[in-house]
Amino acid sequence: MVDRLAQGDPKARLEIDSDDEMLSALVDKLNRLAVSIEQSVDDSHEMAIGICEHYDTLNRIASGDLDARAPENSPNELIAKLGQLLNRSTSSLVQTIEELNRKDRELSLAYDTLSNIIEFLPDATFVIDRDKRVIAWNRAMEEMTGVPKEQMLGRGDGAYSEAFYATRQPILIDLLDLDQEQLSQRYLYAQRKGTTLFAENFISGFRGGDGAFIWITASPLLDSCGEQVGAIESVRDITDLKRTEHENAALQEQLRQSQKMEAIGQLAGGIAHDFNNILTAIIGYGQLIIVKSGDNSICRRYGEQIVAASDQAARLTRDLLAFGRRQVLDSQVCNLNTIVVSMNEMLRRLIGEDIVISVDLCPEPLMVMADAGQIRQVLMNLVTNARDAMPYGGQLTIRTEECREGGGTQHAEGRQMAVLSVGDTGVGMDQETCQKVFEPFFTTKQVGKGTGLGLAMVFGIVSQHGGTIGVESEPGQGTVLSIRLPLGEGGAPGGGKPSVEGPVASSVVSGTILLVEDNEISREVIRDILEDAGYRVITAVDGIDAVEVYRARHHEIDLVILDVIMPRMNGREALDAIRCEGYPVRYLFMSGYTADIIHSKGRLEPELNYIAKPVMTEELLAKVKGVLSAPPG
Amino acid sequence: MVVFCWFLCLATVGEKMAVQYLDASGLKCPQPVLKIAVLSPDMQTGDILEVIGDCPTFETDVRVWCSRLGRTLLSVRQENGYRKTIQILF
Repeated sequence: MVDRLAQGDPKARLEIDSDDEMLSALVDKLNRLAVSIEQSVDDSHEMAIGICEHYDTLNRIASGDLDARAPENSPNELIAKLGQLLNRSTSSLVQTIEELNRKDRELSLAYDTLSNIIEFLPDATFVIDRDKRVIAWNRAMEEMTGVPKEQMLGRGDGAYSEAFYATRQPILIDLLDLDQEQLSQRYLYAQRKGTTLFAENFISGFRGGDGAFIWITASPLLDSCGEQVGAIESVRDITDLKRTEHENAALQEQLRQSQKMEAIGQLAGGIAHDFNNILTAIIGYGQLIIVKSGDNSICRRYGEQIVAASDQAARLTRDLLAFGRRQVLDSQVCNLNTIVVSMNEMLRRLIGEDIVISVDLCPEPLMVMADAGQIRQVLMNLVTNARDAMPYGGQLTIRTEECREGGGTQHAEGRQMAVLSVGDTGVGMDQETCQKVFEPFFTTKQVGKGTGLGLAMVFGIVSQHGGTIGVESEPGQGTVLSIRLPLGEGGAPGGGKPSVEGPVASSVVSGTILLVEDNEISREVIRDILEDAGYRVITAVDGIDAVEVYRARHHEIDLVILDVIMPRMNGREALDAIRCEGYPVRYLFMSGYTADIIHSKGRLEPELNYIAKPVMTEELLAKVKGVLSAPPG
Repeated sequence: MVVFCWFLCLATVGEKMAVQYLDASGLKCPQPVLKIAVLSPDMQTGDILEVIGDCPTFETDVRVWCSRLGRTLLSVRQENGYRKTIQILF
């Protein structure tokens, strides 16, 4: 039995029946000892099995089986408690893992959302982490730089700058610590607002090498503790925007210039109108003095001086009217090339020998609706200016060509235009001077050498023809002045100036004239001239007065001379009113301000009888004689 | 003093099932089941562990271990005296 116990068999017992009291007692003690050993062995086995169970449970958990649970019902209290503790730990671990998983899912969702937002931002955008490695590179950035995100994500050491500048160099996202002054030295424009930087720069390599203006925004990315964990930069191509702004500014400037010229033109025209009335009196009385004085009298000489000085004043007034677009145009279809050729010899004499002139004509005829005389005037003024810009000689080029309105062939919607340009190799002008050259009385010439009306006239004449004028110049680089006239307006070429003079009949040398003129001084001098010539003169002070007088005395009136611009009723309305009453009437308009007697396109009606102010005595009498010789209409 | 030695052998049965051997001869219970417990993490589902033991309670202990840890006792082969060979399916 002892051997069996020694071998590990706790169930070994002695089964001896003996009368020997001592032997029986020994057997009993041995068996009780065996029972005690068996209990101990059972306890140790239970503990061992319990440990095995918990060990197995831990192994399963370690293998990822979070559903594994340890038995808690061991008869051994310690093993049972160990099982409970293990299960509580497992549950806590599972709960923690689930919480972590949930937060991980939330973070993933937030990350995906942010990534999507960055991806679809219209501005080219990229993000770097705290180690300056690229963690986002959106689609717009791919399109702008041509660098795909697969090539850029994860890259550090400023590799992203190569996508913009082809070399590694600090860009705005690397300069978040610089102050305003330091930034301003690096960019066309830079501004700091808090931690965010704004800058503008020009990148020459963009847009296929044309270069691009970009607007850049860069900002650090901070965590909840305010520590920088990365940075973001967005880039916008503002080249088109800047071009539009530039064009808008140019348009605004053009509009401003145009409004200014219009205002000056109105002013000049208005002054010329009033001035012509005054000149009419001065010239008229000057000529009367000449007529009334003896051939050698001092008064005659004074009268001649008055008339000569007044002639100069009248020319100045005509120039002002030309600028103010108040002249009457005698427009015909004509070839711009022919006009230039016809001026060739005269221009060569005009410019002198130290200037080489070259004429480059468009091979095709450039038919324009224009007043050839006015265009000749324009060409002469342009050539004169070019000559004066080359005091030490140079090259003068007159060129005609065809182009589309707007300057280039891209503007397909523009009208076809004929271009007449005059270029010189002279002193040139700065931008400020270029903007003022068409203003009346602006001149760069010495006092007394220029009236300042030459280019103003050109401007007025070209505008009245529906054309435009441009100037290109730089100091020391010469000047090119180009006028553009609409090509191909209707009508047949040729034709002379419409006659405003009726057939002169020498038989009619007297008659009664109704003179309608609101300006008293003009009215008086014209009456004196007419009466001096032998006519009888009745006067009216405006259109309404004229109609009433004509109604009452139409039998005795042979001719009505009407000023055009008058208060209450103008000359044209008065003539219409007289005709409406059925009276045949001979008429002659006079005005220093022709806007109202020309039709909308600025051309004189062929049948219109008209005399311009200031009225010259001989011209007036010739016109009157001519009209009186024709039948009333 | 009890001297014991045990060794392990691994053999491959087919391509999937492996048989592992444990000689727990000379070890007194509950040492053999503790050795089995130490080996068990290395056993794959379907593997067989063949254990030799000679402790008088060896078979009882292995049966209890299998029962409480959810393993299948495949066979018990009686050898000399208390010596037995037991196969456990994992």
